[in-house]
Amino acid sequence: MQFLSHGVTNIYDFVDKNKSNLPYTNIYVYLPVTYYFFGSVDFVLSPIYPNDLYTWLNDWSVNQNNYSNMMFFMLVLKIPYLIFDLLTGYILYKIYNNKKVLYFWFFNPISIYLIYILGNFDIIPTFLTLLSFYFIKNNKQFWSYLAIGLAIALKMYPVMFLPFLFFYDKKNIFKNIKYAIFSLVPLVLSILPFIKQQSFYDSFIGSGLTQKILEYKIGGLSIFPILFVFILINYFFSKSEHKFEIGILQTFLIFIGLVKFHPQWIMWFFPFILIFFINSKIKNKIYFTIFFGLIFLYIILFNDNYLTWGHLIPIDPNFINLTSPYQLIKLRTSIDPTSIQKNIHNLLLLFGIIGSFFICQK
Amino acid sequence: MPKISKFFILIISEVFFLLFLLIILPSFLIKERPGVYQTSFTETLSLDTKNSFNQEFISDQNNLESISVLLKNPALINKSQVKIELQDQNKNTIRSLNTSGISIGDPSWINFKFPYINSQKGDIFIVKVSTDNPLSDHLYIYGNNENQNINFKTTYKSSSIINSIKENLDYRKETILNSNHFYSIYYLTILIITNILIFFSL
Repeated sequence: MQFLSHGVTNIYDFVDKNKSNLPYTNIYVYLPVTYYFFGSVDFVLSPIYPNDLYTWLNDWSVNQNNYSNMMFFMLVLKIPYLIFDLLTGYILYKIYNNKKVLYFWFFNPISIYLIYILGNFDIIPTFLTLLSFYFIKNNKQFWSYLAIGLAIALKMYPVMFLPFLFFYDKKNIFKNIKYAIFSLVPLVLSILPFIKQQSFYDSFIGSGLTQKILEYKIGGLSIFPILFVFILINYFFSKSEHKFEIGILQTFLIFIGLVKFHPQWIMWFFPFILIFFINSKIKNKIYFTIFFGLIFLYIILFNDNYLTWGHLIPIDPNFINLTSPYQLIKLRTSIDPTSIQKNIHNLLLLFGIIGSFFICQK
Repeated sequence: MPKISKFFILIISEVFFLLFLLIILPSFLIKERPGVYQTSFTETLSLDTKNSFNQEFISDQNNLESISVLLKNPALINKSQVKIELQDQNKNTIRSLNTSGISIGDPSWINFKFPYINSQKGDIFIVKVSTDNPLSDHLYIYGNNENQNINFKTTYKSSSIINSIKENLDYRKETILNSNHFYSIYYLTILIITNILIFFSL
C-alpha cells in the first residue's frame, strides 16, 4: 500500500523488477483494485501514522515484534476495517430491521476475531456482497450487480454469490440478464491495463481459491461443485422468505467441510448466516455452537503459532515463544496433530452435510 | 437496572478486561523472557572445521534457559552436523546440542532450549558453535569478521509468579515510556469519549 504514495502504479511490474531489493520477497497476490484502494487509504491516513510505521512495515528482521508503538500501528491500520464493520452493521439493520442483529454483529467474538484479530481486508468485499443482497431485496438490480462487481474486483470469491443473486426472484430473471454484466465490469476494467503482462499472471500462480475448492474428490470427481449445484437447485425452487440466507448457509456448511479453508474466509459468509444464530431454536443454537467449536479446534491445530499465541504479540512479543497447541500435542503425545486436524475436518464435513440438508430445510 | 449501575458494571468489565489482557494473562503464561542478546551483525562468516566461534556473554538475569544463534544454510543444501555448546567461564561444557544442516534455514535462528540453569545475574558464559563441515563458504554464521563476535540471543526463566508479575509490570512500564505520548493520549481520549457516549446512550 505504501508504494502508491511513491508513484508506483503498476505494482506487478514493480514487484517483479525489484524482488531482490524488497524487504519481503513474496509477490503481490491481489487484484489491482485492492492495491489502488489500500494505496489511497494509505495516502489519506498517512498524516496520523506514527513516524516509525513504515520502518516497522518494512522490517522483516527478528526485531519486527519489538516496536513500542505496535498498539498504535494496529489502531491506525484497522481504521478502514472499523468503518466497513460499522457500515456492515448498518446494512444488516436495514435488511432485518432488528436491533438484536445489529448488537450480535458488533459484539460477537467471531466478528471481532475475523475483523480485528486476524485483520485481513475480507470485511470490505463482505460488506459489498451484503450491500448487493440489500439492493436485490429492494429490486435495485443495477446497484446490486455493481456492488458485487466491486467486491469481485477486490477479491474473486464473491463470484460464488452471483447465482444466488441471479435466481433471487424468478420473476426478474430477464431483468437480471440485462444487469448481470455489471458484476464483471469493475473487474474487467481494472485488469485490462495489465492483461498482457506476464508479471500479472505470475502473481496469481499458486494462490487460487479454485484449486482448493476442487481439491476434495471422490472417484476423480470434485465434490464441492456438485453439491453447490444441488444447493442452487434447492434455492431455485425454495419459497422461503430467507431463501438467500439458507442458500449461503448451506454453501458455508459444505465449504467448511470440503475446502482447506483459511479462518478469514469465514467472514465471507458470516453476515448472511448470523440471522440463524438469533432466530432459531435451542437445538439449532447448540448445533452452531458445536460447529464453530470444531472450527476453532481446526484453526488452533495449524502448525503456525501466528494463528494462536501470535495474535497476542502487540501485548507482549514473548507470546510468540509459547508452545503452540500443535507443538504441544507433538511433544507430549505420540499422536500426529495433523491427523487430529484432518479428523476434525471430516467431522465438520459430516456436521455440515447434516446441517445443510436437515436444519436448512426447515 | 438504573443507568448508573449499568455504566458501573461496564466500567468494571472494561477495567477487568484490560487487567486480564495486559497483566494477568502474560504474567501467568510467559515464563520465558529475553535476556542479553546481540543481533546487529549482518556479515556472514564461513562456519567449517577450520572456523568455529566462541562468544562470551555476561548473563543479565538469573536462571538461563535458552541460547540461539543465527545460521545460514544457502539453498538448504548442506547437511553437516553443527554443535552448539554452552560453557562456563572455565570452558567446561554445561549443555550442548547437536543439530544437522537439515534444520538450518537460509537463514534461521537455531534455538537451543534446555532445563534452566540455576545461574545468577553477572555469571559469565561462552557460546561455542562448531561443525564437521569441511567445506568453506557452504555454511555460515552471522557475526563480525574483525572481532569474530556472533549474533546470539538468550532467554531466562521467571523463578516465581511474583517475579513474573513484576517483570510483566516492568515491561508494561517500559513500553508506555518508550511509546509515542501523543498516541497514548489519543488512545486514552478515544476510550474516554467512547465511554461517555455509551453513558449517554444507556
